[in-house]
Amino acid sequence: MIISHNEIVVACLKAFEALELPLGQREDAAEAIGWLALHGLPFEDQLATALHSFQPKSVFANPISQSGQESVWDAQGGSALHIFPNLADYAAAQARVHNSHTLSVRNLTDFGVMWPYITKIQQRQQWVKLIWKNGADADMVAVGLPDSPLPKVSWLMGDGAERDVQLIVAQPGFGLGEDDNEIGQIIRVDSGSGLAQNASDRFKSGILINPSLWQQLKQIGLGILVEATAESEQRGAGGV
Amino acid sequence: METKTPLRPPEQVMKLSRLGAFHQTRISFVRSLLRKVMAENWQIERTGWDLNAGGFGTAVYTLSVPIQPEPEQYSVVFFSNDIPDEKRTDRVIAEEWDVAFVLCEGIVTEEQVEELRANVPKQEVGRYLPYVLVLSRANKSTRNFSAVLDALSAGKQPDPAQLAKVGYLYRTTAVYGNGKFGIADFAKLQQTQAFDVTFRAQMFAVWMVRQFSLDQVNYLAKLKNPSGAVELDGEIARYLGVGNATGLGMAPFIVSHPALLHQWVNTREKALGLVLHSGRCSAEIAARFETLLLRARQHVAEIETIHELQEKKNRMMLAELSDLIDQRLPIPPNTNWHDVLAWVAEDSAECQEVIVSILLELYPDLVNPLAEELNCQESYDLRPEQPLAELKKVIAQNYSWALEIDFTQRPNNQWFWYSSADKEEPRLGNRYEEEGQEKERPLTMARDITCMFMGIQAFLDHSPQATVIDYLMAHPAERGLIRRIQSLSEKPYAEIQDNLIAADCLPIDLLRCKLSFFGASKFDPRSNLWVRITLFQGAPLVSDIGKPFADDWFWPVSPAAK
Repeated sequence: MIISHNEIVVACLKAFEALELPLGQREDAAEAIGWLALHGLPFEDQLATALHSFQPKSVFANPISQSGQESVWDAQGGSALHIFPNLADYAAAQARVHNSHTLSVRNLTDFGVMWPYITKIQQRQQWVKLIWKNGADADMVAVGLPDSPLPKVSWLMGDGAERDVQLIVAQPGFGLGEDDNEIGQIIRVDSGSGLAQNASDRFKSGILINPSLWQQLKQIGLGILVEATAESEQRGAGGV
Repeated sequence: METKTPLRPPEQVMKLSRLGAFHQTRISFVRSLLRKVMAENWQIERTGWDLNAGGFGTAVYTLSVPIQPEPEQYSVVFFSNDIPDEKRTDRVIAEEWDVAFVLCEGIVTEEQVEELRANVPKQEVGRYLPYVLVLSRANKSTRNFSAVLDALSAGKQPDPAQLAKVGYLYRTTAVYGNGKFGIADFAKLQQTQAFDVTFRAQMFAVWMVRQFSLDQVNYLAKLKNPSGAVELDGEIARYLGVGNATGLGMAPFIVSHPALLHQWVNTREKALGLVLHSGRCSAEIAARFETLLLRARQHVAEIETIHELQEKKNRMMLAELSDLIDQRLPIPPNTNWHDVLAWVAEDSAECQEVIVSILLELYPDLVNPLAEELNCQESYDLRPEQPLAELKKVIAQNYSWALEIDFTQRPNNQWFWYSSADKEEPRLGNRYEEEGQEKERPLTMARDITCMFMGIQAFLDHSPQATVIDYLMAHPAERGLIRRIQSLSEKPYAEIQDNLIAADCLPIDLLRCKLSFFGASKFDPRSNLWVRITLFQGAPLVSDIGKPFADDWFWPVSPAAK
């Protein structure tokens, strides 16, 4: 079925609220899903995983080691949807002081939803690189620079080598570490302009979504509604 | 254009009692829409009219906006339905309406009309594709419709005095845009030249239901008495606008779009600043001020409302306007507009805002361009590196109005806003008497900020050098609130400076604020929770396009009073 961008963001907001994700975190999560959907990127698996396994109250990232230029965190299997934004902001704040910061996260799920958030960092005039290698076939490097509104994404040949999710944030002029082709063999590059065209197309024609996933999302969102009574119908909305 | 005159302070403007006293201005959406329609000579044709003897069926109007190199084309499709009287309600929980309609891009095909017919009458239950830009519905004012129909079919014009009581034939009960139920996102409209300003497409659709209502009543009168019926007189037709019933749903919108609210109010205040800075008024402008003031008094005198408090406010406003007219007119040439505002400084907010609206009316060249500045790219972002002590200062300075509220007092916590399982209708509950507060909507800004302020203070006691991200790593749930505060720190008109959960909060004030930007008049609260208003009363008709247009339909008054 076809839905609008605003519709999926609002439906996600309601569902994530029903799943008890606090204001702010649920906005980030809903915007992330909406961003992926709008830009023609995979979003349904991430959304389905999030709806099944969200435990926002019980999972936080714990620091393993921290210094000005590097930090390592354990996400305890939590979803990037609500754990990543604060970690990314941590790295961004450290980079302001120390010129660059490399943040590594272990045991993080739903990696794909991290991608939209790096656009926020690049809009703050910082350089940013996100590296995901999980040993599967979806390895990627996303690079965002302030002079481009959207990140460039290099998809890499899965080489079976696992490493932590890495986020490198740097002040302009400071390095972002290895070149993409040093991290793995590049299969495809999605440029920022290609993503922008995808967004334009979807504003014109809508976003395709699996109807059962859509129903599931809407159904979970009903959890924010208060049961109606005859009294609330009269008193709560001013009567007829 | 910048103004050097200081704008009115947010602690004055952003109080609910002030926002709830706003009136239409020259920058309101209905006004800027019709200036555009008339200036660009939009071509509107009725291309489909398949209504039966009861007035039920399908009607199609097409719009061509003459823009180079190619005109933009749109369609408005109406489905008029025969509904039982007991089904006619203005509430969100309604399931049937007298007319359901859509604004679409392009000239609709027969297949599209069939697809729309299967969905549009169902409104929220239907599904739509992005060629649909606006979805809406309206109910008849049965008494007015019948009275006008009876008069016309008897060969007479309706009594204008009667029409002053209810100045419309139909009233809308919701006007959906921006991606609802699959229709186009606003981002798509921003690529057009016709509807690139916020709410312009919705207002156009509403203007067209007014045209439909006039065409329908004329058509039925002619059917009823083919040889003796007359058409509605143009002046009376212009006096008939479109009603609207608005409930609590509008309130969360302005709280959850604070940057947009700032954009609207700041533009309005900037317009006032430009007028105040324009120097002393000429004799011609002074005369115009007097004309509008007299018209405003007549308009206010014609408002009828069942709401006791609003009635009291209207009576006071009328007395204050009369005093102003008696004591200050004619105003001397070279009067400074600052002085005029000072004359009413001790009067009610309603009266003061009448004067503000009139002042904006006097200077179209200064004010009209600002109507194109009401869009806002809403973007809220965090500054994680900000020292926490600095954030605390920002809160102390910008939210002192919230920090002064004692939330240990029950009356300051009385209401909770929620969405009902009944068609998601927004409602208000009493926290001490009703179930459901665990699902409270986030209209608790004042309380939440006060609570967080104390948490920040405690954190700083232990970590005086902490940054915002240090605090957030420990309190991730406060991310949304901090981002809001940081993003709005340079937007003084973004926050409503009142406690929206207090026992004495009047939700109709929130509704009126937004409706005034739409261009509403004749505010008629039906309770503290919902209001009826009129849009486009006095506005030009479709048949007026191409004729000279003075953009002077502000404060409409009954033809009987002219």
